[in-house]
Amino acid sequence: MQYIGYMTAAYIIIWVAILLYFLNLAKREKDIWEELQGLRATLNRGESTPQDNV
Amino acid sequence: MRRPYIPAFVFGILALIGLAIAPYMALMYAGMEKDMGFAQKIFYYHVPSAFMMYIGFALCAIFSALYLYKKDKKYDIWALCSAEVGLLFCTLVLLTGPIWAKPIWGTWWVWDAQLTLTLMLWLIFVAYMMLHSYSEDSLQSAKFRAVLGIIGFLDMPLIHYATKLWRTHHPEVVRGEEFGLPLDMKIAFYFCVLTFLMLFLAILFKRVSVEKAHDELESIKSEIRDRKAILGQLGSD
Amino acid sequence: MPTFFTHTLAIFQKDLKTEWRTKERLSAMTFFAFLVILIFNFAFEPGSPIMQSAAPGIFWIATTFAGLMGLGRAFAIEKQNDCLLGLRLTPADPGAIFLGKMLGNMVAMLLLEALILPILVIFLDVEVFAVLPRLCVPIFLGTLGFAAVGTLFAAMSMNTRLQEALLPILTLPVLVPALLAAVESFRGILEGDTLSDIFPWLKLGGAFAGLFGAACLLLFEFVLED
Repeated sequence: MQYIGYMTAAYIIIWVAILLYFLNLAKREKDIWEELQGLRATLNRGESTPQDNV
Repeated sequence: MRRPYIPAFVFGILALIGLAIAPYMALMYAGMEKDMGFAQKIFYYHVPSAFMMYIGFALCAIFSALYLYKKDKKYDIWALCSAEVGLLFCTLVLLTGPIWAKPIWGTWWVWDAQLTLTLMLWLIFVAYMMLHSYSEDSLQSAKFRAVLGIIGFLDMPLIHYATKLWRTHHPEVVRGEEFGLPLDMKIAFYFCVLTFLMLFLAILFKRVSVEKAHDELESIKSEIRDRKAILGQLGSD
Repeated sequence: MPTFFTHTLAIFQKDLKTEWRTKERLSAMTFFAFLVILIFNFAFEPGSPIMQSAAPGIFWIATTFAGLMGLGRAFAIEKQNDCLLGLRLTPADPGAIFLGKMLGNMVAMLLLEALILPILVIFLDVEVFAVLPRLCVPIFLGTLGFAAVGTLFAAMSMNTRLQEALLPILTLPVLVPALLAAVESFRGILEGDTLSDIFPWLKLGGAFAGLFGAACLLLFEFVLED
């Protein structure tokens, strides 16, 4: 069981770092998606009443 | 609109399968190294991370050169994403390296060629990311980053040679052992390399799809701004 | 090709002339380098052997930081009144603009180094003058590498939100091999090495200067264009 603590620490760090990166990436994607939805909603409103956009 | 991005999905599945088997390969299948014990098992994750770091930075340089040559936005997106994913794996290398070094070399950090090169690459590509964040104009930022990506890549052999001349430590021995491995360790090691390659590709494709969406969003936003400006002018006339 | 060099020379002369009129950049750089050397004396035991063995490092730290300051100024000046745009509108090739600017920066740095070497001798008590001819080779190579990379990155950082603040962040990690070569050659020469003893370091310094001189010359075009 020599150095098992070091190995566990290294493995955990790798998993946590990759997981954090993935969560960050997912959040970025979600933000983009939401902004796009918002824009589409504005555009739809804009088409019915063009004056709103001015 | 939200299309499933097939390459990211396929590589992601393969990476997940690999990652599920990798601990078994590293811990059970591969034999125990006599002197280093469990610390040696860090290498099954550390070295593949280093390979992926090099692939990421090399891809960044290639796409950077293509971007400067062809001036196509898509190459810039690929260069940016390769650099970011390369930086992720570079960070993993820098985090796991000292954890291995502490029990084996007795110290967290040694200024040997490999370690110094990795640290310098990390610094260069953090600067690359800063150049991305602090630029005022996205077209200019793309060109500047491409220039830095190429310069950083060209610097790699020079940094390596310099630090080798500067400090000739023990890594040769260690790395020699690493590749003169018994067959079981070798198989486990190459399995991990393959798994990390899948992971790398999955993250890269995913990252590119996010960046493309971001790029699309930005162009829609600027188009809306333009239209509003025109409408505004019409309104005031 | 001859016009390329005429243009290079013209830009180089322009930079020298503007500098000669005020001398503000060089005096600020030299004073700054002087202060860096002084601060090292306060930070460590003055006159101790540690300081003598650290002399090559202190020399290059002072030169690098003063050089970075000077590079930032060199392009800040061009940004005022859109001078850079004016330069771009001239028929000069981007490579010629780069080479002219780089030579200007290099001359400024060589002058700076000539001025702070005596300061190093006075404060740190190192025997520099006996080995001066030999010492010039690595200093020249280091300065050339620094000026090449620094000029390119200075032009880049001036167009970001952080402006000069980004310059050291971009330049220093890339510059590591050149700095290592310069410092180690300096140390070797102070310890009595001949040029052939430190040849591996000179080779590295020369390779850095050559490779990045050429790369920056080619890449400058993309930094300059809109």
